[in-house]
Amino acid sequence: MTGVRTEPDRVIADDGEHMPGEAGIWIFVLGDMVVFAVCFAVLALVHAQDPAGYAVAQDVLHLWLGVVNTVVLVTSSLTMALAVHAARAGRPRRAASLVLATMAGAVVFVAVKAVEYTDLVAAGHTARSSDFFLYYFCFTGLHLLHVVIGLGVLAGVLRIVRRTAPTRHEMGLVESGAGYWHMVDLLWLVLFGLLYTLG
Amino acid sequence: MTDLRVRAATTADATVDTVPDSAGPRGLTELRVQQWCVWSAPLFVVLLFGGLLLAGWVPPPAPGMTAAEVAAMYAQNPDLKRLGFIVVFLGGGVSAGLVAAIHHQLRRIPGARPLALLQVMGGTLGVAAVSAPAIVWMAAAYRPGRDPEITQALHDMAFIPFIGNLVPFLVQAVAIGVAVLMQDPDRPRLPRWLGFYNLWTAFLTLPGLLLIFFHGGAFAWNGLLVFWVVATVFGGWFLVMFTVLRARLRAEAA
Repeated sequence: MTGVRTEPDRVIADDGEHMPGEAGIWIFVLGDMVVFAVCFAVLALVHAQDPAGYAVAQDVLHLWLGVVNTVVLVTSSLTMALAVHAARAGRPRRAASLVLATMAGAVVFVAVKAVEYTDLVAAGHTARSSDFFLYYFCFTGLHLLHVVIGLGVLAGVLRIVRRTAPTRHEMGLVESGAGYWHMVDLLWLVLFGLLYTLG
Repeated sequence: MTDLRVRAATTADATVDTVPDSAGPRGLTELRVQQWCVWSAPLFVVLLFGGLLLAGWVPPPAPGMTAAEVAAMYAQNPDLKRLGFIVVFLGGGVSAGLVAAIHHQLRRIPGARPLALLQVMGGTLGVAAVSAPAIVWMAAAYRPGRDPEITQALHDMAFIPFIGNLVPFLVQAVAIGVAVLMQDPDRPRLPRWLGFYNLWTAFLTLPGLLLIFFHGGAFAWNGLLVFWVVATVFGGWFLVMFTVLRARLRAEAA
């Protein structure tokens, strides 16, 4: 980030053809989604092999905790989108509070997941119990790692949107961070559907 | 010489090396040597997967095999297996060429010198991560008549680190990813998407660490997520780095 810096030029209008973020982040997002697609296929296979066993194991999960986390993540995606809008509109304080709200959502998600894991393990359901729980813990754990990394990403986004006039490049970074966060949300929606409601 | 280079890179035009390349005997410039070094990447992929095919390790043998089954497997086509192990071993050494070529690019990114060094550390350990299991396979195949339990122990001793020892690669890819993203966005030496790509690749190796918990399923050492996904991404990484570095060197030559 050294060298000659261009003058801050804020991205003001969205002409409808503007690709959010920089091209590189889409490699990350699409690549990650391909890998999760493999995970989803594995879950579908586990379900196909033993639908009854899948249903029995699924009944153990607390559906409402899953629903709470879904609502939390979808809401945080919304606050993130609003934060990008606020940053584009040159309203740093509003943008910063919206990013903070998004981060709060991420923290709540992690906390709920921790409660869920503790409760399941205390009741004797571990990754060793069945194929369903093996993949439940591995895939939700992998997703949780995305959420934790997302907290770091959001912290970086927060630092940028606090400034009064982020450069075009910095706005690109904010949009990239937002894109990552929407992906985390989207992956959870599919995981939630497959783990808590399939069948 | 080196200091001059860094100074050249930090001044206005970071993409063009203003310092003339020092030519060795017979006009072998650094650029030319690098151009040879990057070819080690596709060569590595060919040797690694070729060696694995020769050894009969694609798809990898199931981790759930009994000691007797493992011993019987090593007794089958033993010389072909040994040849395969030598080829994998050679592949590990060859991959060092790419590490050197990447280093040459990263160290010229202003501020990224510690990361350039970190990349070399990760890459060097990566050579060991391929070579060391190859040596243990050689030992396992050396005495087909021994107690099957011992052969099985050696077999595990080779397969677990071979598939699961992804941390050196993780370090290497993160170092590259961060260094590439550190570049001046207006004048990148390497394309910025390469940074995100490296971070994604680093991330993908993580499920591989779970293999020690499983003897079957998607997370076992022959499983969908641990072997097939990681092998594709890992092999693909070498080819992507090759393509990008080659394009970069071509641009430098022009």
